[in-house]
Amino acid sequence: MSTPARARGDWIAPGQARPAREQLAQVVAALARSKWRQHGADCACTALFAWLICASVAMLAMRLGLLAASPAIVLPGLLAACLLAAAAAALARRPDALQVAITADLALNLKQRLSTAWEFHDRGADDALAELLAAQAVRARLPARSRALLVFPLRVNVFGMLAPVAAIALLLVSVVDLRQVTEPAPTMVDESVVSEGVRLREYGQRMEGRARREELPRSTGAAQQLQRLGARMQSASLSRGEALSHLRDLDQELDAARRAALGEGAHTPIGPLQINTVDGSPTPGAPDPRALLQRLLDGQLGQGEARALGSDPGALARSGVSRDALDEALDSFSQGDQSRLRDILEQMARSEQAREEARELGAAREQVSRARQSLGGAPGAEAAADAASSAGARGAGEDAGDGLDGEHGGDDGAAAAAGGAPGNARGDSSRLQAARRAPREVDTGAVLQARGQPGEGGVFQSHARVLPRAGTIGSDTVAMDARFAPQLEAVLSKEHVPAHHKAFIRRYFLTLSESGRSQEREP
Amino acid sequence: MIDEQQVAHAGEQLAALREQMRRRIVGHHDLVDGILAGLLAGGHVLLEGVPGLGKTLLVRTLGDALHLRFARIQFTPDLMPADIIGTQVVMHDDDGRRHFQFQPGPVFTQLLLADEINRATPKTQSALLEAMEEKTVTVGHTGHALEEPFMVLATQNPIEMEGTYPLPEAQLDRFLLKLDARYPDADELSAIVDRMTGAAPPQVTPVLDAGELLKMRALVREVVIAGHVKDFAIRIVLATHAANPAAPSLTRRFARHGASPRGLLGIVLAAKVMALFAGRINVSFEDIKAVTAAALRHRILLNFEGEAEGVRAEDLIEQIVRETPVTAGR
Repeated sequence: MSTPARARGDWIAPGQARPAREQLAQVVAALARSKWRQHGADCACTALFAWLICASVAMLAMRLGLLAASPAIVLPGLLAACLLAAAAAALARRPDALQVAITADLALNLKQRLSTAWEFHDRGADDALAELLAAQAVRARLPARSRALLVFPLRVNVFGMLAPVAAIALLLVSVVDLRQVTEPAPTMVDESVVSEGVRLREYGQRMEGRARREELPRSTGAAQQLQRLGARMQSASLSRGEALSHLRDLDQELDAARRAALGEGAHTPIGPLQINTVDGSPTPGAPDPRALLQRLLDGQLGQGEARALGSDPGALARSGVSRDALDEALDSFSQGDQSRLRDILEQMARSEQAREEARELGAAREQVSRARQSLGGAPGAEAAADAASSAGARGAGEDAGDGLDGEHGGDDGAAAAAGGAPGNARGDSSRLQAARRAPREVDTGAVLQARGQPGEGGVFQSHARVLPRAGTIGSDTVAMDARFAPQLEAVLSKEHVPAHHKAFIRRYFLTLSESGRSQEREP
Repeated sequence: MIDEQQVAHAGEQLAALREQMRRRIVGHHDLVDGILAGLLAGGHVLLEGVPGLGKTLLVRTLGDALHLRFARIQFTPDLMPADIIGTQVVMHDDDGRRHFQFQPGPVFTQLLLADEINRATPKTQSALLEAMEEKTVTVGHTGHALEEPFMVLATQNPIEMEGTYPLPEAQLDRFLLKLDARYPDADELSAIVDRMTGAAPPQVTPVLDAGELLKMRALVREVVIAGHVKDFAIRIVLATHAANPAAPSLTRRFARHGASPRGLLGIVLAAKVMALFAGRINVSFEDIKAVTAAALRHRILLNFEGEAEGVRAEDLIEQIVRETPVTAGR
């Protein structure tokens, strides 16, 4: 009897001399080895990929100086760690022989002959049923060792496919000159920034001297800020963009300080128009309240000098002092009672000091605005407008109206931009027309307590900055006749008008002025 | 113990039985295999389909192909339990004395066709319960054993539900398999016309007697099922329960009650028959998958939402079989 031939040794042919269970065990062992190889290859690919990624990160850290170690130590160490982890994972998830048989059944469509036979064989039962099942499995042409690789082929998993990419990353990290990335390019010295820094610093020094002399704390602080920023710009440590950014911040701080000073000095809290009472120009030849106060405290103030206070109705209005109160104080002074006159003089002195503060801060904003323009940054609308306001307050008598205009112009960026140089906010009518068309932000005023006239009691008033026909009122205010404003203020200060009524009177005349101009344009 | 010769002989006999049935039955191969699976597994089969699909003919043909006693009961609303299981009647003996004597009903047969079983009242339907499960009939205080092999083949019509009494779950669970008769295609209809309208209707020769059938039933139970294949069947049955975390989405959403352990037994026994059909002595995953729908479709109850949305139990089973993993262990 001849033994049936095997087909090239690939398949176990039925009727072989060896027992079926032995053949079955060999086949399952071969399959398990194939599965082991496949599993090992998967783990190796994963380990390789993990090592390449970790090595890339480590190399990058070393080249950037974040990791103080030698690549000759770190890279082999990482490789060893990855290999150990892969080996541990391979052992932890080692293939089960029964699962291998089930997989082979499914792959080769053996209808669970192999897995069933293996399960009964693996139980160790030496019975005929296990032999019968093994024989059935063998008859189903089980894969021999050489075919086991077809069931579990060696393959490159997805991590193995990604390994070349990770290798390229490691190569790039190792070769590329990182200094170009890490070290910033040498900065060019911006002469404009330096020159503006010099100018601001020098102005800050002069401003500080004035502020200290006049005892203006806000202006002193602002002057020091100006000097610091100027020094930084002068040292070329700031780029043009950084300088502009700092200038913008300083401009906002100066504006806030100036508004605070205005708030302290204002005794007629009428929103935008209060500036007029503070920044108004003094009457020529009018006495200085601070000097008078000092003379009073020194006991050297005479009746005539005291009476001269009434010659400056603007100063009285700015300080919220009525003519009657002054007269009564003068009468009391003539009778030897200095207290009421001292109160009035202190009140007027505080108002004058606030006016000085506002003027200094406005002038500082003007310098900042000039620097921003010089560096190519658009200065803040309020800065230019308020600078115009300050310049107007400091300038000739006709510029007194600019203070009023400036506050409204401050709400309108285009108007401020159009103004350009200080005191020129109402110069170009075409620009003002453009400013009038520009959208404006509607803002509401704060709730302020009107101090009013002495003896009138506290008056609470809420004033909204939303004026009639919002969007055009700012430019209209700019265009208001400057000669009209001081007359209005003088009348208001001379007449006995409650403080909270003054706003409505001003608004009424503003409306008249607006309607008159409209009628002039329409024909 | 099972051996290869027995398996080969059983395969030949089953092939011959199939051949005889196909002489008269056109198409319906899955129905024929399902009925044979129920017969060899020792269970009962419920056939469902619209009238005229050959359900009754199929059962009659099975009776003709087997040397088994065959009886048919046409279920009607006025059918009484005694009409099925029999009753005690008064008899006169030779001495003129009267006594009660049990007259067996049509259930005392080997192959019982319960035609349109859902037309009888639940009381009459339940008269079959003991016969189907215990293979005995109790009248009065006396139990009467039914002759083996005993198999009930019931048919029911899924339409014309007016005046019908749907089988209760307990009764449905007694059927090993529930088979759906589908409508034949054009080729099959052509063959039916040729075969049934000719001068000589096809004749069926008996090829299997009761003794051989019982041997084959014993052989079926010796077919081997491996642990992981059994686990696969268990996972399928467990997945029919909505409360099971491993249940698929459709089951969790639409199933009210899952399959009973009797359903698992039905799957495994029918799968063993399928393995025998294939000449194997072990059950495969494919055998399990092939019989799962027939064994479980009448054991899964849908909830109201499932009924309202027209979901079928077959849809749930299909998803379960598709998503149940074939791995070692549970």
